[in-house]
Amino acid sequence: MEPNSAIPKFKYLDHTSEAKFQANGATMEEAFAHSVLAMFNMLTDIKKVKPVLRKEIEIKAPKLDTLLFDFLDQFVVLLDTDGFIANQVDSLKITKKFEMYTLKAIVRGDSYKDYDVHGSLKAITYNDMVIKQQKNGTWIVQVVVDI
Amino acid sequence: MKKFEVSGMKIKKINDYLYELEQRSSMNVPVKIFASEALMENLVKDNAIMQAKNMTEMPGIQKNALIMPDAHQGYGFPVGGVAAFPIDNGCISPGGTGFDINCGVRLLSTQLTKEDVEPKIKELLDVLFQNVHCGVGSESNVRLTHAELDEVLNGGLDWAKEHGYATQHDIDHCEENGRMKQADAGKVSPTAKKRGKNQLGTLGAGNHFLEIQIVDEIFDEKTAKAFEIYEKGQIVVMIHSGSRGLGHQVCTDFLRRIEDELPELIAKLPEKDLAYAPTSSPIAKDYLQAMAAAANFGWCNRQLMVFNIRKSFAKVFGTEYNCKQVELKTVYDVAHNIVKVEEYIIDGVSKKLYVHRKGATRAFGPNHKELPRDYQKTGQPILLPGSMGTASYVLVGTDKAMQETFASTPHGAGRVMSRNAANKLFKGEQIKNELEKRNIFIKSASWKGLSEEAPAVYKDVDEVVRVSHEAGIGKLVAKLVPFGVLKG
Repeated sequence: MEPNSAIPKFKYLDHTSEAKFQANGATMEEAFAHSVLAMFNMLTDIKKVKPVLRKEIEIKAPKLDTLLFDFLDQFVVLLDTDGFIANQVDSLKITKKFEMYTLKAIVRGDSYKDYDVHGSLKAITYNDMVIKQQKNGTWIVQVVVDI
Repeated sequence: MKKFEVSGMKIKKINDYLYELEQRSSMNVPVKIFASEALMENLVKDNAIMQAKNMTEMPGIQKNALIMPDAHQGYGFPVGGVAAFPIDNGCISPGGTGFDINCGVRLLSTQLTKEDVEPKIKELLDVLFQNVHCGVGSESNVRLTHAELDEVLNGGLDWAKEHGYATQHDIDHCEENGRMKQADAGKVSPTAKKRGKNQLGTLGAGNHFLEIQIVDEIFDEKTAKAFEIYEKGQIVVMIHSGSRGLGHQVCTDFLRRIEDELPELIAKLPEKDLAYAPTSSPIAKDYLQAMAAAANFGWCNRQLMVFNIRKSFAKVFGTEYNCKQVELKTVYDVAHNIVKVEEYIIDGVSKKLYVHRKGATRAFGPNHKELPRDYQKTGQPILLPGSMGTASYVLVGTDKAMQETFASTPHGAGRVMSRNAANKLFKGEQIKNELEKRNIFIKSASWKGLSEEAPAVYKDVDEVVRVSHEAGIGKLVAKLVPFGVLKG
């Protein structure tokens, strides 16, 4: 997750009415990080976005799917309240203590105003949500976003 | 006759417009599907019917889980799903309302004709584009304090009238008179309020639109006249929008609260988005008050756009044009994502029910006490938005809908193609040019938004409407075709 890292590792899947994506990563944390990029790349070409604004995110949840849901929901809210478009994850750490996960991330991006942005993010759903380690050891995160 | 099945379950044809899913012991009631053979072909391809099967397993569900002709797969309930639960021992499902609470449609009639508007259509679209904000991050031209936002949430269109944005006629012609009285702004989270605070009166993006439309065909002259639709060529204006980020967040907040507070219930569900709360629980009560507040926000959102549309028409045409008064009157405003308390006869007994309509339009027949005086004899106007470049329709509610579908009918076309696939197939510029050749003018905040909403990604709205009409759950009144389109 070094700044300006290589091509984000995600792909879009067909869903009749909403948007569905799959993010990959060498670790679960990397897959979580790529899921943010996948979500914002639906709205604009994030490669063109300048990482000039910085957001610190902290989420606590008892389950991994809830952690992912709440993590992505933070960005749905930030888009509406701050016009924030994320395009780079500087760091993302998930720890577990006393049956509770904590996610801490530093994410960069910019205000939507200077870019060609389309569509919207209405809400994150649990529909077809997947957080899974593959046989080769890499991780997959799959999410359907109501748009 | 073609045989249909989903996940190994047979689907029985009842008649040309009604199908029923094979009953299993886990299902409390049957699944009834209002569709033609052509619409069934698409319906069995996605997960919508199995999601309706999941609805039948919810506590207290009455009579049938219903699938409307335009249904497609959603999350929890399918979009185009209708279910009713008793108010005393049933349940409430935020996902059964949909994330966009009070997504709905407003129709305005005018005295203008196509010939009047044609020379000025591009100018009109430009002025509308300036006055009605749309697309990502679009901000309201109204600045609300926290206290004022609470007044909007609690007061609905009464707030809009007090502040000069609505007339009494608008209020009289709006579902619930634009104000659900159980609304409590205190039940809406600070996050939801923060999302919605600067969005009042904005269109949004995706399938939401503002259209200048031409009356193309009148099927029922008497009813059309009662709805202020007089002749072919008349100009009307349609708005399709919802409660913006505020409503979406209310749904998210309550899905999460049910997950946190009722984990045993969640563990048993086939999918988490189906989360529900027993009607007697504090969560259900709080949700209904928050949902009502979001619904009031939705009505005010469309009303502020109406205010700006009136301003735009006045700027382009003045108050009189070609010897005609330029007045935009609300025909009706109706939600298609909402939970309502309504009374139906179940097994000969009148029962109060929470009717969940997710992507379905209320369709009250004549003489319903909740209809405005103007529509007592006709039944309720049903407003079905098409997709960009295709027709929209006005229908009227029927007694048969009251008896068979908890007074529900479809809400539009319904997608058949994913946005991902649409982006690969279409280009926004090309769609704009093709529509202009057909004399349909578009103003959009983004090109890509256009390709995702290409006419071919939707079901055939004409077929959806035909099924409603033939099944008797919404009778055809008029067909409206687009002339000028504003999209996010």
